[in-house]
Amino acid sequence: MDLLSLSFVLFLAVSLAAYYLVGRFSRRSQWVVLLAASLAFYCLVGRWQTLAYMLACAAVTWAAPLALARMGERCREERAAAPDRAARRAVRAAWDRRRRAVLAAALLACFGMLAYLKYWNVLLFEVGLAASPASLGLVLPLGISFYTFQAVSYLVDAYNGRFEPQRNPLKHLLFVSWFPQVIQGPINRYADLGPQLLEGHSAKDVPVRRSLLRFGYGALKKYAIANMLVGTIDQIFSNVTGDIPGSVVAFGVLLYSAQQYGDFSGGIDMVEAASSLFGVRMAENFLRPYFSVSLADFWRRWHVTLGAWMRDYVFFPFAVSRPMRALGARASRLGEHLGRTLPACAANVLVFLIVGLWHGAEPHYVAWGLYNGLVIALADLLAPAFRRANAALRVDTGSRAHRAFCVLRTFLVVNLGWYFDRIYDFGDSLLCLRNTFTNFAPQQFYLWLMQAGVRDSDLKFMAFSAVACLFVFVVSLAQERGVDVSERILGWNCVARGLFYSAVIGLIVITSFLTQNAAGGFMYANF
Amino acid sequence: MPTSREKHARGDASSPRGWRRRVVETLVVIAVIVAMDVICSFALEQYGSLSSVMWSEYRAAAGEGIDTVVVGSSTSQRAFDPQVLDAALGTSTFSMATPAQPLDDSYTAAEQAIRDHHVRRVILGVDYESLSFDNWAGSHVAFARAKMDGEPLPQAVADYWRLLVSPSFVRRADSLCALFPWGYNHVKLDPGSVAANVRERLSGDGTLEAAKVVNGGWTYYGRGYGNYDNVIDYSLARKETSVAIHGTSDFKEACLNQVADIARLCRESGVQLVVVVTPRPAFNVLVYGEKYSEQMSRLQRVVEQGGGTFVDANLLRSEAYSPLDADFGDGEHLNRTGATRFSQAFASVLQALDAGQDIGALSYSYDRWDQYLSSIKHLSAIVSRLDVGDDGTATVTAQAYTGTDVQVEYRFLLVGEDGGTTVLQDWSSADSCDVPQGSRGQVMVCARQVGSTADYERYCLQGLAR
Repeated sequence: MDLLSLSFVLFLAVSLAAYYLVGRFSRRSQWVVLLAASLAFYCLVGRWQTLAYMLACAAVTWAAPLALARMGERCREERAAAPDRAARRAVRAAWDRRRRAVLAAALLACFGMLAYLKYWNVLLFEVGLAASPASLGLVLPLGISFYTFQAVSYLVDAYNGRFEPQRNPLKHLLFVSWFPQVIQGPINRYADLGPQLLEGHSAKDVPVRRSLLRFGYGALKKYAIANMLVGTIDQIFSNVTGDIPGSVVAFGVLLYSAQQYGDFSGGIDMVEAASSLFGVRMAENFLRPYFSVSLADFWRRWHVTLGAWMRDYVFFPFAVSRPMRALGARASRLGEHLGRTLPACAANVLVFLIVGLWHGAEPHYVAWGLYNGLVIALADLLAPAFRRANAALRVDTGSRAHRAFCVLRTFLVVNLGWYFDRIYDFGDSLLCLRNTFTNFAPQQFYLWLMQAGVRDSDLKFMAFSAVACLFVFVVSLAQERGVDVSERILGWNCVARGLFYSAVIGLIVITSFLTQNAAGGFMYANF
Repeated sequence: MPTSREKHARGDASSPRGWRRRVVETLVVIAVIVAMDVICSFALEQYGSLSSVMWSEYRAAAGEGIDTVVVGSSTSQRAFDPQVLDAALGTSTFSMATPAQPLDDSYTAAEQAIRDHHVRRVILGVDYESLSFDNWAGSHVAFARAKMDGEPLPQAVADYWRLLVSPSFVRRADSLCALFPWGYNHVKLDPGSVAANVRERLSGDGTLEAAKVVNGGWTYYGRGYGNYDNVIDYSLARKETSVAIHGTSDFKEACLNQVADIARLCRESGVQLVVVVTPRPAFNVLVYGEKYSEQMSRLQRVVEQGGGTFVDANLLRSEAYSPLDADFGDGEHLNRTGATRFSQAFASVLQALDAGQDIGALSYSYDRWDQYLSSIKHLSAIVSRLDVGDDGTATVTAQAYTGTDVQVEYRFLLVGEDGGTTVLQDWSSADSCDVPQGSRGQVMVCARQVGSTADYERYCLQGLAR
């Protein structure tokens, strides 16, 4: 079911009607409608057979925190009854071990399911024990990466005593299965999302026009940019040969930049809008990443909730772990900066290695993760040198020109990374990278594209994508400057708004028709 | 707490006046969008589509007797000449086939004809892509819009709603975007084409006249049938293969189910169903390899289990039908002459069927694919590919589409950018040839049957760009 489809509109209309109708009688019961809608959506969009995995994940992450809380109470009781401080410390140590064992078992169960379904077949294929990456016929449940990470964050936060665990298993299931988030995130935190799902809302408090505007903006990105470009990108990178001109490669990677942003952030806009129609605001996942001034900044703006998850549950625990502290101490002998940043650098490399693996177990994803981790680590390590160079060259780092330079530099660094993300063979990624610098051959650009099956009409129709990209750029630029673009548009007179909406709809209609054979579902649906 | 004056001043939605204003604004916005939709449909939606010709001609024939209808896509539309069939069979045939007609629209057309005319025979013309490809949103919309044209408003709305909630639409963006039908069957998006479309609409011409203008070279012969006179250029076979255009996939279960639905409709209505795989040049059958027989036999089973009759025109023995090279307009369609010859041959098949004869004997069977392959005695087409090694060496390899018993020999010529030719490799059975480094222009690959003294029977050109 596409988000831009009559079936989704009807599904949403029925769910909203039921939600607000129930709310007229009992706000405390509204969440039941959300749960029913979420389970129905999962069965309609995914395969109902895979619902069991989500239920299992929800069951584990519901039961384990309750067990941890119960163990905490027992610990307190036993400590209160302990005769002296040493006994209290021993009691605490014993219960801490048990609590850690429960946490580890729950994490193993959640990540075990994810690893088995997502990586086992690929792993066997890579070591030559499976005929293909899909030969075992394992069905990847819809949104398994997203709901697993979200459920795990709940588990770890509960372990750390950030909140009282939810006692009602159905309410917890709603947090895990909330339908707008299962397709492609964002990865919400319980402290933000849980209360909103359960508190109930009234229709009159919902920003309907804003939500519809955002839904349309997302659809424009998804259809007029992402879907329009995906076919050409496929044709370029499924025809990689030794003589592929660098100009074609660079063109393909730039298209991929736009396509990936349009697809992922467009889809997120649509699901955020759908969620907000119920009065539920999910976490933001994109903060105009192509305006970033460094690669680290980029990853704070792109897939924000995954970055925050990695920061809280991998980066910090790893960076302050005993071995890393020891590493920092040893490194500080070579300099204070090195001692302070080396553990963080190691943690960054680990985080991005995991992010690479999160995308897939194939070598090119691992390379892509390592590339990002290493670039960020090197940037941190060399920060003093850059500062000194800026000072020596008298660079005004606060100037607009310097910021523009940093944005452009980051754009190039990010795009180099996309070589390893989009080109599915690691050897081909390196080949394309080499040709970009040693065989740019712009004179072969057009001929090569034609031979790869890209038609003149494909290039001509990219004008629609260019218009959409320009529109997104203008909106993003305004947002960067703090302008509330939605408010501005909603402030126009209604005829101007009607004309504006007609133009946007027209662009979506034309591009949707042009691409109906090129695009599948959202490319992040299975991550 | 804001006062009522303050609420009014900022159009607060919670006040009654604020709500009224919000509703009026929303209605105006919707009205502007609808107005723009209507204007765009007028300017951009193709006036004189072949679907609209079919439906308007069908409605014009309301008072006439129709006992046979032809449904299906363009291959069907351009394969059956109703007047030739009628002359041979004494029937009254109307072609309801339209370009890229999906099978569920074929069902709709057959159902309409059964309801309106109590027809006794439905001929469903299909090709490989009718069953392997179900994504014809543009054709769906054009078909539904053309059907709506002559209908009362409630029926038209019901028909369009049925399209939007149909399985191929409801879960896709098409189900919403088709509310803006100009996006689905529009003229070229350049000022000249748009202006011509508007002029045609305003000229007072009917859809048929407009269709003749829009589809240059297309002639309408009556009874829903129109065709072109062009002849295929076999040297461009590589572009003409359906595989090059659509790729090769297995038949979709949904498509086979739609054929079964048509068979059920006919069976329950007491109507004879004949499913015909329409003729195409042999190369465009051979290009599928054994997939063709494997997939078509699935279709044959579905048709026969549904009580219909199945005929694959490509497998008819030469005594029943033997197309000429010049019968084809392109790799998938017959031209007018080809359609006439095929319709005559097909009328004989129907006569045999009506006489209760076993028409299976007229064809090769999918079980004995080798017999079909050895029955092809001519060279249908030749295609080539260029392989460039990492060291820059280029090799042109030819592939001949012909029968298993045919011996082919090849010659490779270099056609320079100035038009001059050099023989790279003279006649031999070797099907590949190395191209000297630094060569520019194209390689002309000629092919003929061994023993022939012709300059060539088929040729193709291979570019050396890159």
